[in-house]
Amino acid sequence: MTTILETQQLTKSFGNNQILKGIDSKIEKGEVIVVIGPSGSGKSTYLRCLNSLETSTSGTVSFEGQVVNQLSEEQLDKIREKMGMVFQSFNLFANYSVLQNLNLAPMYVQGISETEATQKSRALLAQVGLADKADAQPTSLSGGQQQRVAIARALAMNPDVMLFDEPTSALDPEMVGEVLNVIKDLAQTGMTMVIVTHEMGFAKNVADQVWFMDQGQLIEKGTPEQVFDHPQEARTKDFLSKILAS
Amino acid sequence: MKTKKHHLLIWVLLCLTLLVSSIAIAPQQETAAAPKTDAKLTAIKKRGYMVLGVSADYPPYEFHKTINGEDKVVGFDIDLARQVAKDIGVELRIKELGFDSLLGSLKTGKVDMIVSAMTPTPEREKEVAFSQPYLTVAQKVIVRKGEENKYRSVMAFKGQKVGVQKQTTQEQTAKDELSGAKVVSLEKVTDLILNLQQKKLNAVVVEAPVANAYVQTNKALTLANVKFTNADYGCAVAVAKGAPAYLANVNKTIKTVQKNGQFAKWQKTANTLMFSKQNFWQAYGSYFLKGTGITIVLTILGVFFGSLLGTLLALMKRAKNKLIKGIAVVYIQYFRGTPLLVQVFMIYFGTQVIHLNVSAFASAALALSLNSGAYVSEVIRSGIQSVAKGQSEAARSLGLSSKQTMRLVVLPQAVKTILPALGNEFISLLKESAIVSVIGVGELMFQTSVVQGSSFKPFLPLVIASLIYFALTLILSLVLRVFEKN
Repeated sequence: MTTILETQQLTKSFGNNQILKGIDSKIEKGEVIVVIGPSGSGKSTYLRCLNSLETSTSGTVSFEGQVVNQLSEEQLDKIREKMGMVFQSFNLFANYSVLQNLNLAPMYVQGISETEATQKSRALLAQVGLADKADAQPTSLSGGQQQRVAIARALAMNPDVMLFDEPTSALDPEMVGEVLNVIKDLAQTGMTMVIVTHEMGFAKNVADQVWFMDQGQLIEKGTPEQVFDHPQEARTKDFLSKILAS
Repeated sequence: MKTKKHHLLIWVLLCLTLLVSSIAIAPQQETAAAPKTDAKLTAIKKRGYMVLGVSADYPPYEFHKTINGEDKVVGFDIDLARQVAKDIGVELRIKELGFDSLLGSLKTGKVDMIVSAMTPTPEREKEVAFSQPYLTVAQKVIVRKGEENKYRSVMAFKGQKVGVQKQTTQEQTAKDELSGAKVVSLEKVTDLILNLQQKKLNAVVVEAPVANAYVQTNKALTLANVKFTNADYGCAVAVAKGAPAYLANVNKTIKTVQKNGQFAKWQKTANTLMFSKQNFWQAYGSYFLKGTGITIVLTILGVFFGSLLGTLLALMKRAKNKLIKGIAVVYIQYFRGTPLLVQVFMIYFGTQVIHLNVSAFASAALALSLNSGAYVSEVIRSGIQSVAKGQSEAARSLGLSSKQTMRLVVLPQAVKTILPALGNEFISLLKESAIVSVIGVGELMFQTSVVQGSSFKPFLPLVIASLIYFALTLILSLVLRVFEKN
């Protein structure tokens, strides 16, 4: 097994507010990690630190054996290329069509020709079930469709790892399924993934490991069975009982 | 009579100018007896022309007239100046300026002499040298027709509102001799007449030639039979200090034209020209046309260079380098935090202080561009901020650099917010450009005051100017609306 992402004593503060309080974590190639925990526990911040959208306050983040904290902006850009990120609010580029959303980074970052990029983008759109939406404007799509486009856009860069930041939280209930199915399919392909989500059924289904975070700390790690059926920590039990009661 | 002291601002600028030039230039030595020549005279002769500074809105001294379809600056001051140049053996070039800017221009060397109905006052004599007077004039009181019998002596003005031109000899005379009168000081004679007609003033004190002109062209006005005891004064030519031979030349010309009756002939010609009847549009239409053209050109230049500069400043303000960011912040704060009027003067006179002879038009275009740049940068900044943060985060997460993110994702979206705001900036710049009339740029407002002065109609030209400005901004906003929709 090779380690793709690793953090050591990672902390992150905004002003006096410490969001992450020393996270030690390791993500192996091909693993699907699902991060659960109450709102404000630092899950999203952790994810954003992994691809340096946030700069850590102390501790280290390593990607494929390289410590990223000291890297220049240009080197960080190189690293972000290899990490796809999917946001809660989709963040499709409002000034481009669906196809152009997918083509943009391959063309401008990797220097691929438009013809080649388009070919690949169309294949990816077909993969997420949106082949017919290539020329649509993002705003004309439903939330579920937008999020599927966002996933395809991230995949267009051939990332080594995919980060999902609550990908279904902004969706109407009936659209959650279509997005989770795309992510599930992706997991089948052996893609390394870190998924922050509140969808416990999905977590059980797809995760190799479930991590429980609370108040800026990684409280408990384990297989879905371990964490969901036999939680060791009181805070995990407390959280799960609230979730399952609702 | 335009015996205005200068605007306080000009004094500040002059002090600045003096300060800088006293450091930059070695003091010139003045000699007691007038020598044959001096540095100034030599320079003028070598150049082959001399520049007259004049505020050409004051008939019959100096005013615009369309003669044979051609716009000309005429009046006996102009004739005198031409004779001075002729006697020195050089060509005369006329530079039109606001009266307030004349002394500043003489001191900074933008003009070589002022012949603009200017009266020597102790304050002015500290700054420049005056020739012997070429004209002595009396002062008159204008009242509404039918009320002249109410005002038969200086005592009759008690409690009455009497208008004078601000900081002039008339202001002093009115305060000294019209006992008990409420003296109201305004900027321009045309404004005074307008107030008198609308009964906001009961009387106006102006000098005789001007008073006669207004009474003759306006049937509702007449002269009151009031005599002042101590009110005659002279007009003189102003030149820079420290040029005795040059000044002697000017004095010699004045003496000659007074002796041989030439000056009296010029006065007569000016009076005839002043009262020659012309159709208003035929006579002055071209002024408005020309002024509108220059206003449009100035605005376009200001918006174009302002947009370039504003984009640069907006980018500088986002820079990580503290110095670059600091420069942009200070620049924007300064140009947004000081009046455009001050900036226009600073640039026009300031460039001369550092020995750059920048024309009034170029100074105006520069001032408008620099000023507009500060505002445009804020427009662009807020446009960039209006784009959701998630857009740039998504771009960065895909590996796009910050520059690519700005160029490919953020700016194209910001444009939607920026364009309408930029349009508003365009419109406000068009209106603000009226300010540059103070340094004699012949834009719409400047032409309007020229027409006000030479037509003796104080109100109509203002109405026309306001309609032209309104039409321009209306057209502009309609064009912008079409543009926004696409």
